[in-house]
Amino acid sequence: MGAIGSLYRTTGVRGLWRGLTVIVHCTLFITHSSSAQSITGAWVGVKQELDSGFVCPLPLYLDVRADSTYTLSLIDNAARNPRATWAMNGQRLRLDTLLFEPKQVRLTDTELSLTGTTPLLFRRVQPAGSPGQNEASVRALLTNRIWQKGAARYHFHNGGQACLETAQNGDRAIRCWSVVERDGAVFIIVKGNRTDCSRNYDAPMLVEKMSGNILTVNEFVDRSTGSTLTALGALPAGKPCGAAGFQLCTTCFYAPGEQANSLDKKGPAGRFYAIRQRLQATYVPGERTGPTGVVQVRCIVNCEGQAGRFSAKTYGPDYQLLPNNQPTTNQLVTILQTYFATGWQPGRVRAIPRPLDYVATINIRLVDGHITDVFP
Amino acid sequence: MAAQAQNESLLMEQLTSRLTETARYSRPWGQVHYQNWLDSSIRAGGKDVADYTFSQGISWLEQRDYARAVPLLEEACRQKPKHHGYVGWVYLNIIRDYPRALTHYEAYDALTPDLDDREGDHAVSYLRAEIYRFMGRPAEALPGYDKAIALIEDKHGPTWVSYRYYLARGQARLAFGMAGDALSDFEKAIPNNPSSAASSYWKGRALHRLNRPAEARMAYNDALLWLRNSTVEQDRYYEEQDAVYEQQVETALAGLPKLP
Repeated sequence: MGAIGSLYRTTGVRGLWRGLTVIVHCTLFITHSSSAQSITGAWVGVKQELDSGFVCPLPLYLDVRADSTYTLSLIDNAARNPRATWAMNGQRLRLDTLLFEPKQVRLTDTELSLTGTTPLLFRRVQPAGSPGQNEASVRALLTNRIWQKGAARYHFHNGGQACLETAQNGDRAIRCWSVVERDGAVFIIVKGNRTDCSRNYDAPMLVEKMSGNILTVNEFVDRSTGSTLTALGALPAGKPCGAAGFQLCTTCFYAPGEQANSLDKKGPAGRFYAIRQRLQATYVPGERTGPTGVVQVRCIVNCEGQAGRFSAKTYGPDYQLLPNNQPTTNQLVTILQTYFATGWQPGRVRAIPRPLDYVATINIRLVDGHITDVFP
Repeated sequence: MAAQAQNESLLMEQLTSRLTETARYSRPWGQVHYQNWLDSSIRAGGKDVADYTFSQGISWLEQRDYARAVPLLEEACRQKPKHHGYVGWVYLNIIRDYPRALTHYEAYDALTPDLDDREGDHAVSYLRAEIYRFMGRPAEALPGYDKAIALIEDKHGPTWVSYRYYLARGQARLAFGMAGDALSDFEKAIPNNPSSAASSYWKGRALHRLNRPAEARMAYNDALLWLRNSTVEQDRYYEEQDAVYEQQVETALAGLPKLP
């Protein structure tokens, strides 16, 4: 009870300070823009900046018409908002009832950037298709073939399943794929995970050129670059994609925002008891006097309750960070990796119906190399 | 397919509200932005530096980055001793560093020597007793529990005392060998939170110690019932240090003499 009271108090104070900073920081945005540009046209979402230095794809399509109406939809038109009106006076932009101050809007020939809580960037679509290129022809070319793009390999199965293989580690993720045409521009969309095709969009690829076994695409990523998809060969018939390696359910995972203790549940009941029992039974202190401090093991628990990407930090008696690769730490990580790679509870947040990935932390307190406490 | 359509419209809603928030608030949010803002506020100086330092410590603590959090929290206490209370709570319940927690509560309590200070919802006498109990020193814990319980019990009666107080003192009494007194504490705890698995479990332990196995069995079964129908006694922020688990109760049940 005290815990709740106290932590509420902290968040309350912090909330207040955040509120204050809204006022302070308003003055810091200095944007250079020219009001001569027209916002009319088709825009594709490039990125949403969820924190300084952390961006995710923005799977939106913004169609701004000259008759003062616009439509906002998902890039593949899987969902759309009703048509609404827009207005632009100088740099002040109104989208339906949303008002963006001049300092929040930066409009150039090719880019529209909106700053605020989550800065958003859109890029203008300039369809430049080759003759005969349309949704059906691109889909037909991609289907049932393996394509290489940089270090990634895409298996585009008939029926919408995609298998995404990473060259470095051989991991294979099950995704969904489709080809959509928006106002004459053809996009290749890869999204979803093995349980759900409805979110987790990768940056859309705008098809620019098709020639034989090579597709030239323009990816809607931060720095616009052309890439090529090269056909490697046909998919073996009747062989579905099999996932390989530890995988998160979200493709854009921000660890600082996904701590276990911000979720409703940290693990199945008895998890920490089981961890304590296992460590007490399996851990062997070294022969010489061992370390005093805290070993902090972290792993990511995916939405299916599997744990992976274990890492550890070792703190000394005064919480100073000690160098990596301590034998005690390595032993503890190995035990946890061996016995607790599965059986976690997927993350839940009350307002979100689907299970979530999160970071789980296991702290092990040691005195002279002996475990005295294990805590979340 | 219906589920997929529903998820897609949820995503659309989420992205639309992101656009709305962005229009409404001109300052970008996020952990790194917040840390940067605190950094610059601390550098700017002024009377609130201790509070900014404290908030920065808490923010790193939320990320479980002790190497960054601990020096900031200690510094905040040096600058503004009132922070000792909350920082003591952090050491007690989040980092579970009991000697440090004790130092901070001592410093906090010393700010007003004549008063049993409160930190959050609890009297410092109770929190200090908790520390002694978790350090395995029940004899030193008992006076603190007595003081904190008497404060409420004498004025308002036992139904107004948090079940956690009785549960805690009962465990300290049991550890100290006072099984009868411990049982009376657990019996006072249960009406104040009838679905507490820990209270039933510890009542069973006291009864077992008093050689009343039939009643102990009943208490353990009560504990199992609550454990199977609710989560372990923990709140959003930390697991209770004395949380009881099914396996523990099963072991205790197995330790009772066989039924005839």
